[in-house]
Amino acid sequence: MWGFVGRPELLHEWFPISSTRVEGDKRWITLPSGITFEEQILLVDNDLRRFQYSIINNPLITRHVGTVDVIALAADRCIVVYGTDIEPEVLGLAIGAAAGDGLRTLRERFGEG
Amino acid sequence: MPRRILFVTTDQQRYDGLGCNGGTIARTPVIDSIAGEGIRYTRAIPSNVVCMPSRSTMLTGQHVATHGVWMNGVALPVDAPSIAMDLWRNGWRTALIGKAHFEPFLDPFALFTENTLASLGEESVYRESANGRREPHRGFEHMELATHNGMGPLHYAKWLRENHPEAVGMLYPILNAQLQVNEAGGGDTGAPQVKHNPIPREWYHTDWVADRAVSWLDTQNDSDDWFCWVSFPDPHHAWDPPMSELHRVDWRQLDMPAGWVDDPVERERILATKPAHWLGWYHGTFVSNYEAPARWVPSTLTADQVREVNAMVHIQNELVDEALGRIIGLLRRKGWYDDVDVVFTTDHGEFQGDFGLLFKGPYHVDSLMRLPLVWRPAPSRAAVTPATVDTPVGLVSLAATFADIAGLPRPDYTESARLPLDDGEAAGLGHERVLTEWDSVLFGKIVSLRTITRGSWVCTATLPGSVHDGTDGELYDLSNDPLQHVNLWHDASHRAMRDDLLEDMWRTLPHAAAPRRACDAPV
Repeated sequence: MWGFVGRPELLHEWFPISSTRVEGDKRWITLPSGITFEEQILLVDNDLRRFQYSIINNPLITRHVGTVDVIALAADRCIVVYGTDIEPEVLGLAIGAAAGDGLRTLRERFGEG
Repeated sequence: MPRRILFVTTDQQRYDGLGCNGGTIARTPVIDSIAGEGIRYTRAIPSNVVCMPSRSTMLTGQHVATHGVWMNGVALPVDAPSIAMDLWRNGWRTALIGKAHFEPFLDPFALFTENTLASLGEESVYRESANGRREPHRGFEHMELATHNGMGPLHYAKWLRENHPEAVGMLYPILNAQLQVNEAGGGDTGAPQVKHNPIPREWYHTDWVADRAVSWLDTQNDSDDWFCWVSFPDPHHAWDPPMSELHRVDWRQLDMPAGWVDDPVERERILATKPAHWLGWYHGTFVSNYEAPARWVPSTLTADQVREVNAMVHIQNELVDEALGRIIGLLRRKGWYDDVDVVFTTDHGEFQGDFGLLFKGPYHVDSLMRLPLVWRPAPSRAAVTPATVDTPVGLVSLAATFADIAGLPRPDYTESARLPLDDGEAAGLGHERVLTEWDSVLFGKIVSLRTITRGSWVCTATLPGSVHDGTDGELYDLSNDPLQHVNLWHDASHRAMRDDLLEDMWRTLPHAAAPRRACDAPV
């Protein structure tokens, strides 16, 4: 799971977005609505299995940190936790909905375990 | 003989906004005429006082606890029961034109069908059902959708962008740059969500909805059964009707509404007799939901602002009535009108100055709960004596009513019988009480209310939350206190009535499914 979720360039394969482009520690994602977010990759920690990023240079979003943790439960089982801290806070609901969609995709892709 | 249903809804319209209900400002001759030929309900009540839960009840015939759309932002499941689907499966042509709002508006990831149709250039999407048949979204084979402004992904906004891009910015931006409900004032008085809108009338969403409805109806065949839900976004805020129409009502000439309490000391005294979330919101110290601007403090509302908001609403109501007149005109020209059942209502009300408040929220009083509802059965289908029904009825009865009109058995999923044709029929159909629910958790402020309306009594229980411990509530005797200024909840002489109403409510209210469905957006 971490080998997939921990690769920032693969986000569009599980999150409900149209495309992903990564250059160095920057990522650009485009939503189905046509909106593009520029993101700063903050952390890819293969030991912690934690990925963190922040939406930047966005006139609407004044604060954001997104965190994805893959927590091993057994050799073939894990849980994925997606957290968002964002201002405006109401966007957290929409991102939460998208994350729920993405997590369901992961569950289908990797099986119920 | 074909059977047809024209289901017309407005959004956030008060009972007294129509002439047939005693309104004296807005001229609404079209709906008044429809009411004169049919049944006018004097106490029609929603299952919830915000859009998505109330509209979900209209479509499913279910209480909020059952369909699970407990607040705006909670999507009605795609496979939820739908009376439109039942009609479509029985060969009816089906359309929804205007505001749907069974799915969240704020949807940047385009997760929801309503928000993708226009960009796809589609009028519906078809999915394979359990029986292997491909069926349209919620049973509507034709959807052209709109909301209150020109932004976003819906058909009206797309049409405006493509044909009149200069007009997109003319409409008031309902949300501000922080994605909160906009508190910016305008007009002559600086009232929130008021704007003098230079948009030409023919580009405004009310006329667009009528245009699209006329266009769809005009394509139907003489032999078609059809169900056409025409859903006007007005008179919901923003209050920005085309300024070419402002001459219709001069706000300076309006009287204050009966529910306005002029003396601020008396106003606060009345609010203080209600559960704590009332006065908390009035002073801006407890903003619990997304139904009003978070930064707007109701106690700053002036009498002139109330007058101007009300003038705008009256104008919006007149424009809706005239738009409906164009649709009825088409039906008459085609010779269909006598074959059409017309049902007119709204999803919830609006304070419009009552108690010194605007907008809506967790407040189960007539301002938000007493709705216009008119049903004119098709004369060719049923000989009905025009009547006024005073028995409380709920919008939860609409789905069963549509099934009855179509000659279908009442769907198993519905939780209320059809609307009664007169008061004498009401008890036999089981119209003994109407239930209304509220749950909100936004901003970490938890408010939950459960309300029963029975006879002339309205009783609301608060559930434990941010400012309630579950012991407070409201009890009003509508026959002696139509403005709901006297809360009898703690009055010992009314304890037996209160307890009987509560027992009735808890016994009849469906149990909500757990866990509660996710809230995916604030609206």
